[in-house]
Order: sequence, then C-alpha cells, then structure tokens
Amino acid sequence: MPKSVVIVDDSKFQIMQLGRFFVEVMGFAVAATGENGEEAVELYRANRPDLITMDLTMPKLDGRGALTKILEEFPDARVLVISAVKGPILLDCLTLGAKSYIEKPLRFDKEDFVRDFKSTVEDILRSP
Amino acid sequence: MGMEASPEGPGPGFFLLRPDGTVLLAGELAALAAGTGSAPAPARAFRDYLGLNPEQAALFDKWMELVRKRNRDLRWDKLAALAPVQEIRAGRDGDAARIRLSYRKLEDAQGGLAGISVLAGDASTGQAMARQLEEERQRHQLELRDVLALAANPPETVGAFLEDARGRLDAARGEWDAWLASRPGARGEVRGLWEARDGESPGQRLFRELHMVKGNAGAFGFENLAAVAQESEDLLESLKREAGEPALGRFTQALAALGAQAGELRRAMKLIAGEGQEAMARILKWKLDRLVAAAGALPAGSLEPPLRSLVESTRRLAFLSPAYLARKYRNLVERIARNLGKQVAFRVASNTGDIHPESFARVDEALVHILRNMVDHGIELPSERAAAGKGEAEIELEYVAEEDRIFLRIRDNGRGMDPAVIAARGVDLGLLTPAEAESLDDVGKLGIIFREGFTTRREAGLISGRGLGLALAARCVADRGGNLYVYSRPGEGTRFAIELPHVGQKSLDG
Repeated sequence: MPKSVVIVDDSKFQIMQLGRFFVEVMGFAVAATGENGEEAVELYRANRPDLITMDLTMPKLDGRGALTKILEEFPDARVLVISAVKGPILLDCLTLGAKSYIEKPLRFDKEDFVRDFKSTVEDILRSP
Repeated sequence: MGMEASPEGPGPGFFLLRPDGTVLLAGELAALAAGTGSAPAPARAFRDYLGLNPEQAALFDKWMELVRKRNRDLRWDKLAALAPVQEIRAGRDGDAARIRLSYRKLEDAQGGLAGISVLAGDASTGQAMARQLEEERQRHQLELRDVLALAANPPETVGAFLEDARGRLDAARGEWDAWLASRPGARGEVRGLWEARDGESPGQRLFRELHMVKGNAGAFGFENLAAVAQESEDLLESLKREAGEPALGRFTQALAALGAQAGELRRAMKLIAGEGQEAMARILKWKLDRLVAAAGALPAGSLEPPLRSLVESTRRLAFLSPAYLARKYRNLVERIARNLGKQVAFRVASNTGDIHPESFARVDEALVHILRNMVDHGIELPSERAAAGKGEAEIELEYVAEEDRIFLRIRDNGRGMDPAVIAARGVDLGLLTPAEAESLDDVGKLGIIFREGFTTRREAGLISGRGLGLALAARCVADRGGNLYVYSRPGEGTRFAIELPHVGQKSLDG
C-alpha cells in the first residue's frame, strides 16, 4: 500500500505541484487536498494519512492553529510545515510538534530542492 | 559599585555554545583541553555574550529548548537555519562589520547533544576561507604528527637530527644560491646544474642533501618535513626536463619552505627541551592556540575534526606525565574545596617509581567523580573538624602496582559513612527494598552509593548531589574491566579503590 498524504495549501497551483511531487517522486497516494486550516483538521480526521503538509498563511484557521488542533487530537500525526514564512512561527510549529519544515518557494526544477524535500519526507516517515 | 556595561561580544572567531545556553570561548576551551584553565564562573550566558534584547533572548531560549529536544530527530541544517541569531555586528558603529554565525552540532559518544560550535566569520569571503580551512586542516594533521614524533624520540637524538638537517639545508641553500649567481647561459637555463664539477654536479649535490634530510625525517616520523623535502626533490628532478625562471623560482621557494619547516621543529623542540613530557601539554596548547587564531578566518564546517583530534591528543599526551597527573587532580581538589569553603591537603603516593599514567587516563572520569564526592560529602567544614577534634583534612591518591594488576586508592579522613544510614537512604529513594537492604552486609550496603540515583542531598548542589557521579564512576571502571571498592568508618574516613588489570608491556623483556 502506498503511503498517503493530505496536502493543505491555499494556492491551488501549489497543491498541484506538491501532489505531483508526492505521487511521482515519492510514490505516495494523495488522500485529499484542502485550502484552509479548518479543512486540514477535517481531512486529517477523515483520512488519518501517513503525512499532512501544512501551509501556514491560510484563511479561516491558519496552519499553526490547524496543526495545534490536529496534534491535540492525534499526537502521533506527522505534520510537515511548508511555508514561505520564516522565523519565530516556524520555531513555534516545531515546538508544538510539527516534524519538520520545507521553505517555499517550491523549486521542483532544482535538483537540490527535490533531494532535500525527499530526504525530509523520508526522515519523517522513519520517525515513530 | 555598579558593573560597567561592557558588551564583550564576539569578533570573528569561534566559541562553544553549551546545551545549557552558556558560552565557552576558544581560549578557555584550549586552556580546558590543556588542563591549564577552568570554565568561567559564573557561567557566561549566550544572551549576555551577544547582548540580546529580551525578545531575542526569549526566542533564543525557545530555540535552545527545541534543539535539546529535537536534535536527534530533526536534521541539523533545519534546526540551525532557525537559530534566532544568524548575524551580528562587530566593531564600532562607523565601521561595523557584519559577521555571520554558523552553528554546528557537536555530538557526544552516544549521539546526544554535547554542544554547538559557533563560528563567527565575515560572510563575504567564504570561498577563500574554505580553501584556507582545507590547507590549515592538512597542515594541522602533519603538524600533529610532528609533535608526536618529537615526543616519541629522545630529545638528544631529535636535537642531533635537527642540527644535521639544518647543516644540510644550509649547504643545499648555499649550493643553489651559488649556482644561481654563477650559472652559465641565459636566464632560465638549467644546463650547468647537471654538469659535473669535482666529480659531482651541483644538482647531484643538492639532491644528495635533500635526500638525506628526507630519509632521516621519515625515520624519525617528521612526516611534514619529509613531505616538504620530497616536494623539493621532485621539483629538482623536474629541472632536468623543464627550464625557465618559474621552475627555478619554485625550487627556490621549496628550499625556503624546507628551511622554515626545520626551523619550526627546532622551535617546537625548544619548548620541550629539559622539561620532560609534561611540556607536551604546552606544545599542544600552543598548536591549539594557533588553530584557534586561524579559526577566525575559517568558515563553518570542518573546524571540529582538527580541534577534536587536537583535544584528544592533548589528553593522551598530557596523561604521559605523573607530575602532570598529580597537578591535575590537586587542582581539581583544591578548586572544589575552595568553592565549598573547605581546606584539604592533597597527596599523591606510589609504591613504585614506574607509574603507568595510562592507568589514570583509563579511569580519569571515575577519579574525577570520586574526588569530587570526597571533597563535597566526605570532608567536613573546618569548623566541624575543629569541633570533632580532628586535624587537617587529607585526601590521598595512591598508585599501587602489583604483579598483574594496579590499584588506585583514594582515601580521605573525613566524616565517613554509616552503612545502616546509607541502606536506609537507599530504601527511602526506592533504590532497593527493605528486605534487600536487610540481606546486605556492611560492604554491600556501602555499595549502594554506586547505584544511579543515590544521593544524600535533597537538592542537587553545584559540585555533586544528583546521585549520578559515583554511578558514572562505577560504570567507567567496569567499562575498563576493573573493579571499584569502597570502605568506610563513620567519623574516620572513606577509602575507594579502583582495581585495574595491568596493561604494561612487562613480558617484552622476558
């Protein structure tokens, strides 16, 4: 069974890019995609994926709020923050229990970026 | 009297950020490694060192906490990228330079976080620095071997070799200069170099001297010198095929480098001369200082390997001298006693002149923990001793060599321990059941102090009291295949004994 991922990002284009990466490079199945924090929580609950990727700046409930809720309910959830926002908020998310982070912009055209993304996801899957 | 505000913040260079958020400067690290200094007291906090404002300090604390918690499961580059301070300004306002901080994780033997090395470097000249680092690293490796060679050979022999090398290199230099001055033909031609006069050509004479220097250097283990001599030989050899001023210039440079290298060895030699092996620590410190001085110009990355190897060598070599050992443990005992307002006379004794300091090195950790515990728990305050009619407090470290084993005995004449009290405390702490305590004899009861978690303190003190020290000591001794014993008489004192299998080379001479 392929690993499953829920992708949450307020940009449809980035969801498409991320989906392609997870399917084509990582061999994942995309269980669902969402565009805001509230959807993220619902989709995690409904799908219980191996991984959920989380944008931070999103309408309704932001990524930080969403991952807080998800981790409260599912302490084992593997949350990967994918965001252009740097600094204290990332520190916050990791302290709250996000497994790791990827910095935007998504440069799937760059070998280094793909390699880093891939190993980050692999690291997360290895963690309990 | 108010403290003067003196932000002693960092310029370019290297410092160690410890897991507790305190900072150890390169010079202090060097002194610690060489056993000639101690960490600053009170500890210097990172936030103060860099003069962080409260908001930055809070962020930094948060980051440190994350690092402590997640350093095993989150990649270091990701953690390091989140460090709240990535850049600092050094210097006065007018010509403030931007200095980049690079954080690198140092792991302990178990893969845990031992510290973070922070390199402060000018961000603009990264490329040149990387090259410089690599060169420095290679040179350092060779230099380290030189120091080992200096230590491994008798000083007279090394001295004779260095004098011989100096003579030969002077001769080679003279030969070369004379040929350069009087050479026939146009500039850049090398014809005359290989034309025999007095049965030998100048080139052959040069080659002979260089070859002797190379061979002798190799024999003594001076690989650096041997390598430079080899390089000179190769350049000389190439002058048979290749002419031209640049080629000649390169050989002139190589000869100069060779002379400089030999001079360097002579200077290092002087550092040791007449002072026995104890001076090794000084030499290594000298090297460490040089490395640290160079570190300011080096980028983050592989500064740790040479530093670590240097620290290790320092330790190894420093342990070669019984005098050094005595001083090291005396310093430790006296420093702890001072902090606690106690007075202790420390003595080292031995039943033989033939001490194998290697034994101390093997159980150094255990010795440190035991001595610490003795000063902290065993030795009474001067007032208590006076009230009990006891004289001077003493700790003795004795080295006893037997046929097949070595004993390191540590004894004090302090308050001693009551087996019944120890056992009761062990039961209180949940380390053993009352029935178990009942079944132990006095020796067994005293042995409870080696269990992890045993402490007589309600709160951990600065020196000891977390209930870990003696457990660590016991583990260290066990890891080396030895045994750790304790005997005590209440009111009279405590003795520890470390028994180690002999690791000498006694069977070699039959």
